[in-house]
Amino acid sequence: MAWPAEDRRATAVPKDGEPPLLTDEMKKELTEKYFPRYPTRRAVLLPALHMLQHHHGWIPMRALAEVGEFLGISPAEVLDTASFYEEYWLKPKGKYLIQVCRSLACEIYGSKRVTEQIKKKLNVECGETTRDGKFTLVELECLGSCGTAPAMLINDVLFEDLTPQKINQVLDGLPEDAHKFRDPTVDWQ
Amino acid sequence: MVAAPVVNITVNGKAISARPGQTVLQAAADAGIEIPALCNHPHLRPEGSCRVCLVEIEKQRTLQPACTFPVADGMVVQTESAKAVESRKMVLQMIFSERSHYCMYCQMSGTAQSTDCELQKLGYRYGLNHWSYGPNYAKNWPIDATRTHFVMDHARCILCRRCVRACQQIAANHTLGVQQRGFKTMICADDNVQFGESSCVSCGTCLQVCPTGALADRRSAYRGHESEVTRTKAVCLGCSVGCGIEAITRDNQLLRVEGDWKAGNEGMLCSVGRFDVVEPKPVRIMWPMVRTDGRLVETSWDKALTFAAGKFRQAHRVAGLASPRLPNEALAAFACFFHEVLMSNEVGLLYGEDPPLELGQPAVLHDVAASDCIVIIAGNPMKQQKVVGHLIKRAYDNDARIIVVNDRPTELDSYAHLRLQLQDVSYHGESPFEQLKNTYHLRGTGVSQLKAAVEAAQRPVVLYGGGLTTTVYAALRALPAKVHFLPLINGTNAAGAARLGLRPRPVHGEALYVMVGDDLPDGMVLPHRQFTLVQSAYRSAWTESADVVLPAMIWAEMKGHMINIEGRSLPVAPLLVAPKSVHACWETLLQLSMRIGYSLSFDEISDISKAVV
Repeated sequence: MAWPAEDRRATAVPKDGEPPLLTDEMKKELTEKYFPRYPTRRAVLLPALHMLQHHHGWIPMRALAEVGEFLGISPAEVLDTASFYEEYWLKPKGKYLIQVCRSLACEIYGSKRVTEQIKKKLNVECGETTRDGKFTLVELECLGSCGTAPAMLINDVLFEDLTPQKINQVLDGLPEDAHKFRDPTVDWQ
Repeated sequence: MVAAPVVNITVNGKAISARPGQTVLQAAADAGIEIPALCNHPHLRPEGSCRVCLVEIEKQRTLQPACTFPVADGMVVQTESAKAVESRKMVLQMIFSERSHYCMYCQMSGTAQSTDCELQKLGYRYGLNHWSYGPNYAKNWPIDATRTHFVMDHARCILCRRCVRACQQIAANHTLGVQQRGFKTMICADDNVQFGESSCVSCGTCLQVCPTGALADRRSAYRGHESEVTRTKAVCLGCSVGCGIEAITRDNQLLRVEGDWKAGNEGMLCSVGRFDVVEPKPVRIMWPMVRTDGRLVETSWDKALTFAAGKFRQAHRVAGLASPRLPNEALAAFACFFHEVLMSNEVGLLYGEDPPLELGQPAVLHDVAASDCIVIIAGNPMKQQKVVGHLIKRAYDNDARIIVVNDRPTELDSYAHLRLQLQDVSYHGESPFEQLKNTYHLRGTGVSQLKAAVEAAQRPVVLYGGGLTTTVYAALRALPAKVHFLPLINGTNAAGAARLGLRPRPVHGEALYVMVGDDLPDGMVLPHRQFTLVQSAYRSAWTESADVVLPAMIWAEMKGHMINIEGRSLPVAPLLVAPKSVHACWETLLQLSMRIGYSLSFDEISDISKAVV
């Protein structure tokens, strides 16, 4: 017979027996709300990724494969898009996302020391999540708070005029349940 | 005749007539002016990402990429102006500094004349003896060596994305992609798995288009620069598609095989044609062998042929089996030897399938890629005719409708828009006479579905395998005239063999002559006879059971023609010189016929081969 050669193409998305991360409700919403908006199915990739991130907090690899299968895009192209945007989290994200500004004004006013203090206190590097899954630390560009530099965001809350001492205070004061965490400078009554 | 519209442009002071829609780079290339480019490849859609081809165009505010900029009337282009050259040098410096291009260890590296690396060539051309940006030797770029046939060294990658585009646009396999961005950008496979674990089918198209040494062929790396090797156009004998290849040889050794861009396969090959041909093969048979005291013992041609001729003369009837991998000339000589010398009609093919060749308009390979409705009936092109499988996937990417008719699951099922069983598409006439009158009764709904799909399409193509019932073929013949047909023939030259009257069939006779060329058994067992002569290039289970073994040429040494699935006669050019003690099949047959007592003349064989061609 002719020389043999094997075909290793994996056509189906491997299923671990777990429930799908792209749920039927999500598919329904994408189909009804987003498909009519765009000329092609693949154009719905960004909304689909947004939806997954909103739902799970981050986007697991398995979810990428599921999106690819749903929209008819290869896994490589889904990863291409998802990894291009830093705002999509392809690694697990902590309950508290700490984003320290590293732009010029904050840098001059000591954002380096602030970051170092957080790293030391939480025992993480930039871009990493603590073992207990509570904190994720990243640096980002200008928060528009140059007048009160150095500044950082914890989830949606802005902290200003930071010092290493203030960091200890802020981090120790965070509630165990991230949902109870609200801006302390706002009068919620 | 209306003259084709022309766009007049000036490149480096030379007046050029370009076609509308051409890019500056294409128009310049047609006029013999080479604009350097790294991400651009003539057979891939331009992307404009490397910025090496930036040129100065009058009335444009900034430098423009020649590979994506369309020509316009009166355009004045300077490709080597001081501004363009300065920019090009800076871009090259940045590309060199991005990864650790440690050229002296790369298989592509050479002098300004001998280098095969497109990046290094430009480095020499623009006198890059230093760069202003620091080199990036410190970082350990990964090397992925998990693929069987070639290695990816990310340190040498310039992120031109040619491999990614080849995987998407040519192979339509969509395995390769890019992840991250900026300095973190990496070529990756699927959802960032190792290449060896990915959905890669090792077609090697990426390897063929890589401009640097990032993708390295394991077998041919470091075995010769382009300037030291010979490139010969030939035909792949791996299957019945008959892909055009460029064989890279040196010192009578086959180093590598590349796809011929100008042939029907448009540069694409499968893992069989590109890689398996250079993989190690079983032990080559150099001299005739005769079984003595139960063991095969090497002997001279004369002794072996005389012994075999005696056995054939004694035998009441001699049967013959040939491999469909042999070219027309060898098969013709084989058939002639049986009909004229041994007076036997017991001659056929070892294996193979030959579906009827004329069901309607014949299709060429390009028709498959350009089709908007492809029907695949029986056969499994993803396994048996892999390049056709890639063409189907390419058509699928262009929104072609795929209809698979097969009783067994095939790899194409996941692409099928409509999946039917064979019984769905067979006509059932009440009697043969009724069938002749074309008054068929439908048994399933498949035929009407098939007809509707084909009628709705502009360029429908039907691919069909062998071994179907006449009712299915009748249903296919009744399809509209715009349908083009391509038979999925099993066995490389089974079409050529069929024209000579050689078909796979059981043969009878107490002596057996099996001419296999370089074919391998792959589990297939020869029928047991009193005396068996096997003419084979390699030692295999077939030769181990033989009484006399004669050496044979391998595919790369043979000269002749084959007929592919398009029905075209393709020249099989000798790429290598056979060992002195190995002769062409027809020469062996001539010698054997003389010893039997009937001399075949050269003319008869060449006449037959002429008739075949």
